[in-house]
Amino acid sequence: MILFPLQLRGGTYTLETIPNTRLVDHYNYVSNPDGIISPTDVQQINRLLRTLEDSLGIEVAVVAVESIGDNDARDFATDLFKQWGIGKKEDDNGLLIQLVTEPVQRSIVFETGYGLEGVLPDAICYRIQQRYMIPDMREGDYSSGMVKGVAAVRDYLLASDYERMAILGSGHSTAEEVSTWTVLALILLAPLGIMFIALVANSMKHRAKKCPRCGKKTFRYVGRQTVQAATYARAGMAEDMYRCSNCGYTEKKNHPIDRLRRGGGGPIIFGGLGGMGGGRGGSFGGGGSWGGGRSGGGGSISRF
Amino acid sequence: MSKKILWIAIPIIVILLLFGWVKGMYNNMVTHDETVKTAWSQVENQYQRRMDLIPNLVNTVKGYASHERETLESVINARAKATQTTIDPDNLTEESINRFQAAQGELSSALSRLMVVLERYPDLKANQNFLELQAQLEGTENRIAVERKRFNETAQQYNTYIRSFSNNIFAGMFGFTPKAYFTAESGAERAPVVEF
Repeated sequence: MILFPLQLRGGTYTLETIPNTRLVDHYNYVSNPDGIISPTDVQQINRLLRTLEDSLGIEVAVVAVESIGDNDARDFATDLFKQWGIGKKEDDNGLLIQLVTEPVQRSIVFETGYGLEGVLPDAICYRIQQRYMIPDMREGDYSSGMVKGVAAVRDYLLASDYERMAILGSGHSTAEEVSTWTVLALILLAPLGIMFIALVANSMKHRAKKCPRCGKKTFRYVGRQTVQAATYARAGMAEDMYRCSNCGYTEKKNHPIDRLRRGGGGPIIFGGLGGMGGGRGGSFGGGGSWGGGRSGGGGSISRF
Repeated sequence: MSKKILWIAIPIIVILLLFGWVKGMYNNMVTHDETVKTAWSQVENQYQRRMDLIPNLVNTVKGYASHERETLESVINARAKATQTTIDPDNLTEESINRFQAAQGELSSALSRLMVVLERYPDLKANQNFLELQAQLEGTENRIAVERKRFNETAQQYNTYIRSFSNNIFAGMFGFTPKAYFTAESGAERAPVVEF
């Protein structure tokens, strides 16, 4: 906050002019150009959010400004979230807490990343706003309302099963690693006869096996069917079907489909913007951007 | 002798180049097409989320506002109708999107009518459960707006791609047809004017 002392109090901000403090200091989560939040409270918030990021990897951005002009507070939060890419790219686990104090638009907005929508549903966002933030903020004490809100969010997330979900999720990613290795191996072996390997692999899958029921060697792979398509919010499920052409015995094997990710390996411009953060390490200097997470309008708004 | 080789080599090179060109174009179309479909599934998800919230909402409201049977029923009916109106993502034509939008729009207006009516029940407005449901509903409406906007963006990119020159010649051949957009709030979707 010391870096933007020249900003006039009561400035109107756009997506471009709201200072992204994290670019300068990796552990400064609070963009407070109008000095709405007191310096000690900023420190307190940063302490809280740092422990949250260290333990769960969740990135929370706090923005407090007087005015965002004629923009709708909620749309603005969605756009700002997108602009900064809050949350880790692979988990979309960001949260934006945006306070606007100007009388017409006076509001507090939570915008949750796709990956946080499950653990931090809109109702909880709303409850935290109403219980911990609004009472103080209505009295004009924005600073302490913000600290209480951030503390409530942090406590809630630490007590949630986010970590358990993250661990379960990493089970999927090991499966993914295996398949990347297979792909890599295939690429390396290409000159040695990729065709041959593909043919063998294919026939292996379609080759008739011994049927567990009738014992004849007529049990084969039929095809794959999507049971539940993957979305941005959750992983999906497909099943591989095997059938015995002699006795008709069928068997299904479940196969998880990873949660969809937007722009995975997408435009390089964005990759640079989001990927730069490198997240946890912050190894170069104190700076670094957010992780490149995405949101889709989830969260809650409280006007007061 | 060398002339003979040239006669064989040139057509092969031309064919290879043509093949590379068409292949690149085709694959780009597939990528664009898939992006649109994904965006569409996001839109559908959010509408589904809204429909999932309604039974809960109706149950909460029923106890407080039993006089509003008619309004509640119109929400339930509109939901049932919207549930039946689904679109095959391979067929995102103007007609099918309009049909989808009309069904969902009817639900939107039934819901907003309900919300207006409920303003008259202070007990309900003090019920924490109801307030949180309302917040969820609001969040969902916001998600719908965001995903609709993003769908339109991807559909526009796709349309621009398949309609720009030289691509347009092949797009038709490969069966890539233009995708329709969501149109801005039609009358059905806007909150109705309340008269007492």
